[in-house]
Amino acid sequence: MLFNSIEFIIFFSIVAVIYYRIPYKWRWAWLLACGFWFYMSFAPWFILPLLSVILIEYLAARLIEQKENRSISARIFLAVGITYPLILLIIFKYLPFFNDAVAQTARLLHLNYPQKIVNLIIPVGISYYALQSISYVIEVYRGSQKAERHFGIYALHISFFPKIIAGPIERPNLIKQFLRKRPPDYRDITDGLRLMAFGFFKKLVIADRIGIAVNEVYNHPYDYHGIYHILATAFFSVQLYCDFSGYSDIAKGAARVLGLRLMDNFKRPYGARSIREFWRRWHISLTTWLRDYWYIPLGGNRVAGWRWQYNLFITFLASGLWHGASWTFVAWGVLHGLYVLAGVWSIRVRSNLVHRIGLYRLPRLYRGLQVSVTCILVGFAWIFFRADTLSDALYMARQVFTGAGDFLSMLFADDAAGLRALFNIARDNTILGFSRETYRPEMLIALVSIISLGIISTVQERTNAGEALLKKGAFVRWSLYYLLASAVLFFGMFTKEQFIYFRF
Amino acid sequence: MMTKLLTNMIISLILMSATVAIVWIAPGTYPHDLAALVNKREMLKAKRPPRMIFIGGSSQLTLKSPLIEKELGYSVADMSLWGGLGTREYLDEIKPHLLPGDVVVVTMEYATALDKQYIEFIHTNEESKKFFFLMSPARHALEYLQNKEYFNLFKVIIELSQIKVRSYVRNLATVNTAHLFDTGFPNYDREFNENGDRVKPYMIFRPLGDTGTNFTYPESKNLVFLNDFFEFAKTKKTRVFFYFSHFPEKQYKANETYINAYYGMMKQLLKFPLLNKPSDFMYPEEYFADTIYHLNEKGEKIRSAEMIRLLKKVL
Repeated sequence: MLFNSIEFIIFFSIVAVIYYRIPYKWRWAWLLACGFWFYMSFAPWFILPLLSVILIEYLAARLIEQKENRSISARIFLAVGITYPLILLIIFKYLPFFNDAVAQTARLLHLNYPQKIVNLIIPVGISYYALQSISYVIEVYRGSQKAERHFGIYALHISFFPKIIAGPIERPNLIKQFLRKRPPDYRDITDGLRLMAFGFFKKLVIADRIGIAVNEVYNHPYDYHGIYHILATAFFSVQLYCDFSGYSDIAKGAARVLGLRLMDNFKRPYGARSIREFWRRWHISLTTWLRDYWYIPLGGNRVAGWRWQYNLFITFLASGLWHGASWTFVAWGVLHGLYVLAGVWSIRVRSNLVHRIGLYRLPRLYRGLQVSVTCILVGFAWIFFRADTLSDALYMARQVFTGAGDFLSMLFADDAAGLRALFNIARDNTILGFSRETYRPEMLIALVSIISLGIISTVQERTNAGEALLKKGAFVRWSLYYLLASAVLFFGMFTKEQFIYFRF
Repeated sequence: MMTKLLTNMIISLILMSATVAIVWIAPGTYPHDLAALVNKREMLKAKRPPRMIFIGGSSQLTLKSPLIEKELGYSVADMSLWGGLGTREYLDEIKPHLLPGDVVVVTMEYATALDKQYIEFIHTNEESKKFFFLMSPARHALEYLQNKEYFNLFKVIIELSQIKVRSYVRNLATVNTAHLFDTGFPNYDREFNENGDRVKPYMIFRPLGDTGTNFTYPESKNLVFLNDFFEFAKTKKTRVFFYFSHFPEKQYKANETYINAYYGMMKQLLKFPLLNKPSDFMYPEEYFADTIYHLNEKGEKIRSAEMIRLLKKVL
């Protein structure tokens, strides 16, 4: 059951109505049952690994708490609590990749490796709930979190339906919210519904629309000139953001309607002035998880310079691998690691340059330049994230430079015929995946929606747009709600396109 | 608190429903080939009786209707569009528009009677269902409601409204305001004549496209609807005729067993006259354009002349 389906709307309405109608003490049971039902709607057997993680992590945490602080036995239970979800993750997600890698190496070395095809279906959400349960046992071990005694509440913490499929990767403090008695709150419900509507707008109106053009170019990269690779990559940057942040908004909104708060996953990432800032704004729940449970345990920045840089690099590599077991994601992680390292190495040179040319006297221009360069670097890396194979990604990465070069040289040479040829598409009957009749309105709708989103993001950068909206008169508020609902209803792509981050 | 929430939700629902209703009622085009059904319905309603109504797939689209009109003295409405729409469904659509003295000439492309996969496709094709909804919305809405398919009714209305809204956007974006409130298919006047025939000849391609020729023996249960239509037409004092569509010689010979079985079944089954034998419209490949269904100019002239001769015999 996808969030962008009518089934989910019906399911959620029933869940919310009954949730507020039943006595408080049974609400956790209702949400737990709904969570399991929601999760099993993808495939009933998915519940087995989930239940096993819940059971083992629950027991591990309880046993850790019972043992003496940081004793050997506590460490053993911690190791079990960490390794069990990781083993599941490796079996379901990484085994085929490792198997392929070993086979390729064996072929290179002319060794005989009897490669068996291992192709398991990955239970949806496993990458998210595995990390969430690991953070729970670690926090219990560190003593910053009490092991939850109520098995049902703990199970709900892992399987809460708005976030089980694609996060946010919540921390144990979500448990406290399930225990808190909360009467229905009008503000929570309306805020939640507004957030959900905005999430649907991002997903259905923007992401799924431009996704058609992105898929067309990325599925046939050799049919398109570099200029289209640039266009498709720019579109993909927007698509991915709208898809994932749209999902996060729906998840957060759904939880808010039920009186619960999930953590923020995005803070206008394309407004970041550096790659490091980008990662403080993009998929925040994963970034902070990696920081707290990977980067800092490795030593963080409290180590020798070279070791710190190694820690940074290896953290981005882990982030890439978390996203998917393929060389494209490894390359994407490596690229981000290199960006950050290059940022560290060049900080003095950049600072000198800015002072020498006087850019610091023009803060807006300086900021604009920083944001633009960050966007270009992030966009370039998305090629590796989106491409089907590493060879496609490398081809497109090369073509991006050729495309930009050709475009600029023809533009400056005033070569109209050349420019027309550049934009010519060999594929018949369709333009960027749209029929010739529909591509203009579709592109126009996409453009207007992206500009609207950009304006909202800019407003949000300066002020809390939600709060500001509530201060407006009823007419303005209702007009905006009406526009949002009409946009989703009339311009939404109801094709049940899966959320991109579901597959991770 | 709950009352306020509920009131706001009801107001929102009413507002959105009113918006959908306005979009639905407002004239506008649907940039989809099948939206030509709306134009064809309007054409049929505008034709003065007695009318000769041709029902069939795209194989009948290139008919020389003005010539038939001249020779037979009937107003001709060529309702053909696409074989995948389904003859049964199409006949149901024209029932409310039949008038005394009308003549309905039905043909079915062989695939729609002999290719089981294609027959299955016709009856499950959601796209056709959506555009048939445009032909008689009230009747279809009632059917959905009677079958308790409330969600499907909502879905089809929203999908059609979306297509219309996008068409407005397209016309506004291209400053095509003169055609903002046209109805049906946007390019209908350029692609069809006043009788509903296709104006532009099909391109010539070789080899001919031959999808839907996985023939098997026909089943009478797939054809009895023709008699049901005939019974209905009798009550409206309308005559009905059937003719076997044209087919290239090579494909005809390869499938002769099934086609003969089909002919035999139709002779026994149909309560109304057959105009021809399948072999009468077996044509050489040179008469065809791009597929085994579409005739070129030369083929169409011969088929239309033959059609006039056959009709003259029975009228």
